[in-house]
Amino acid sequence: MEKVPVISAKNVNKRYGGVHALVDAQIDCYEGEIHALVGENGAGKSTLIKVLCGATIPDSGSVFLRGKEIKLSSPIDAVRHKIASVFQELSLLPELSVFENVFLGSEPRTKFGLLNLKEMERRTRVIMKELEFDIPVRTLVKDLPLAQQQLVEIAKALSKDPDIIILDEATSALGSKEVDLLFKLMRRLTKEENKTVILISHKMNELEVIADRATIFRDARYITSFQWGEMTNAEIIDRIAGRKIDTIFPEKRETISREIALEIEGLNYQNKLKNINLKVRKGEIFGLAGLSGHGQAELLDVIYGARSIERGHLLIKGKKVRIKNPRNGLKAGIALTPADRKNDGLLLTRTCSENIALTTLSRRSRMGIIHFKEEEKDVDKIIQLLQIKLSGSNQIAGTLSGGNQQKLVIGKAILTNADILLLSDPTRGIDVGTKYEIYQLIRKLAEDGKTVLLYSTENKELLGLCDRIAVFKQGKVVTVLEDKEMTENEILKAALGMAEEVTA
Amino acid sequence: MKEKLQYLWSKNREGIFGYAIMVVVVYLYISSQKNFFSAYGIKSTFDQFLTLLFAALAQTIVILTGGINLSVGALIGLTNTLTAFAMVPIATAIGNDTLGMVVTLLLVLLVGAVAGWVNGMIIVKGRFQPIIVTLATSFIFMGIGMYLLSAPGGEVVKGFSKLLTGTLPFAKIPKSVLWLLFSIIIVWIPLRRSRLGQSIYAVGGNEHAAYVSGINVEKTKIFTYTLAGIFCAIAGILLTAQTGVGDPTGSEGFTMNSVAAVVLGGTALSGGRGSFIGTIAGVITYSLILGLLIFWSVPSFYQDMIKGFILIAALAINALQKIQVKRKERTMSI
Repeated sequence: MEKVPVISAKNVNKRYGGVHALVDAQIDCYEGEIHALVGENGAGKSTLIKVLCGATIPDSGSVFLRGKEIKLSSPIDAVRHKIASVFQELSLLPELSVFENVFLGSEPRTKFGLLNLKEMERRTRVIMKELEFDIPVRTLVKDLPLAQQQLVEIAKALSKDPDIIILDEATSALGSKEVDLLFKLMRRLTKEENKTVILISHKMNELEVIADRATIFRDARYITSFQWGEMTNAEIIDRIAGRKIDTIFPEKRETISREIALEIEGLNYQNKLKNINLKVRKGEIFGLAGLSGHGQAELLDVIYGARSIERGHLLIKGKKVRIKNPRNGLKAGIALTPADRKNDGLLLTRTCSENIALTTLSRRSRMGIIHFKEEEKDVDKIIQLLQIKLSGSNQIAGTLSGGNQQKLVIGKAILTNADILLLSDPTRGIDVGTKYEIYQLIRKLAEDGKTVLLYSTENKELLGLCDRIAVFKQGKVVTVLEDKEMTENEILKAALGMAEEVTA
Repeated sequence: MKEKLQYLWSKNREGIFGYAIMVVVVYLYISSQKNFFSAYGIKSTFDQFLTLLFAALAQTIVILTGGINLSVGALIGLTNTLTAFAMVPIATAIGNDTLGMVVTLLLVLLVGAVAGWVNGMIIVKGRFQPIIVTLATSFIFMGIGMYLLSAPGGEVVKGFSKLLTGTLPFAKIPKSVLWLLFSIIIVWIPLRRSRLGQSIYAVGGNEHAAYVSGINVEKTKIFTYTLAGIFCAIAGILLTAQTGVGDPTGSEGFTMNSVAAVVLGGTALSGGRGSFIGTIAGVITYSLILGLLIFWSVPSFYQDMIKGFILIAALAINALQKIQVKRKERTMSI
């Protein structure tokens, strides 16, 4: 007898304006399995998941729960069918406490109909203890660090005692310790309690560890489902990208000019950066490595002028420059792509062309009047160069997929004609195919004589792309790795401050 | 215990600036008005801010959802007019003053609720901006009021004013203090601790998050505007009790004054942050400043200016708090 899937979707179609988000999509998930959804950004995974939890209503198609068709017209319906979801964008309310957030929308009440705060608090403590999350339940969510906020989000979903748990890039803000905790939890839920987990992640190494089955999406369409292990990673990536990617990283250059483009001398910032001395050459891709939060992102901010230097100075092409704010930075030929593209990188409610042209407003306006013709030409050039997928340059930035949004942010930086590009985690939350395109682009920019400082949370990325790598620990540069020294081992050794025994 | 205090503090810290100013203003007021503690002094002082208190309550809950209500003043004017217009005819028709009064008040509350509900329905179903919708309905409400009474007038039954204003017969406690306690204990605290209250904060804090959490965003908004309408009606009734007449256009000032009191009380105009507890400080401060300026015989054209400066100062403090929070968030996310 064939097993009936606990949840499945068939012939799901969804269009946003002229863009197809899903075309005849389908999925089958069984009890007790961890089911990964993989595909490029914009492949339709997130839309499908939103359909499954009632946040998006499809144009056509049906969802089945244990073989019976169900109607999901709002998130309330999904909760009633014991489907809970955790999204990439946090859905917590920063002004409410942890326990109020956990029970938001399903608060227990006293016999007078008022919120039973005591009960909410008690039950939240129980849940946190069960999940082994060490989080103070009375604290307001805005006072918690990001990783803990994400755990609260997960606790909130699990508090509804769901049979089906949907996680959309739920690990993106977590540290490795929290990820281990979450994986342990997911295994317990599926293997011992026979629940189902549906998971979107771009981290292949995580999926290797955790996924039982997977479904691949490409260009809004279902491609295939398979038991994890049936396919090699290379095969999976081929299916995701729809083309063969031999080596994901572009070839490095043999020689780099001797010319120093950027010199950092004795730089200090609060207690986050301590006496940084670095020389970066023209045409070089210079990596910043280390565990996250050890000063890499701050260094990029300081160079750009988003934070001001406390001691020390910067030399560009041998000349001392004073950079106090981003305007100074842009003038000195420096551009930054911020890590938090949704908050710092883009005006999500404005069009793509407006976004791209934003950093160069002063250059393209005469006496305060913007020259739109000129702007249009430049914008088209960038869209072509980066192969941004959109219905037109007037599409609203917020409606693009994550990968295309990131391209837009990079496009903004390129358009400034800056000689020094500071890239902060440019491939965070982006699919393999688009990553590949971005790597090519970064390499090409370096070949054209730009100087690139790249901070990434993925060591593989730094190793594959960079010419040299500085490793940070507690605000200091521990070492600068070159050529043959550039291995994952060496980075970890330096970042953890350990001697030879590291074997990871 | 310590944890509990910390929790209460973190929930109400926005209002602290409002209370700091209030203490200063109250001190100045008492020290400059020697007859403050006489029965008359207390009565008139408290009655002054009672109408604004309920107007500001209506404004607070709407602003907490991330909206704004520009029809507060007009609706107070309408309900004030309706009370003065209808009370005596209804009482005469029934033949009993007390019963007529009760019927009238229920009718007025109903009208307030319907008017608020209309605001909410247009905003939610039409997906329009609250600022425009309530501006439009404010003209409509005022128009209806002027249809009822083309000039200030009307009358109330005997004993109506005495019932709602003045001081309690057996003590020198002003009845307005009871109204204040009513607004906190009977209205605000249960509201804050109800699912509706929680939903109001959720919708204002992050509408999408609220929706995904299974909160009925539309219903919450409609309820909020309806409640605001009822609070405006209470304000209108209290105003009638104080003045004894109806004036369809005389209450316009309450709209902006209520927004000012809410802001002074630390509630964020972006929604989701703040509380009526803070608003109370804003209301008291705002009303007393007016009395103080009159007492110091400050020329009237300075009076509005000074109110404006205080408002800007409040906004600045509010903004400073926000920037601090942002900085903290930023350092944490890196």
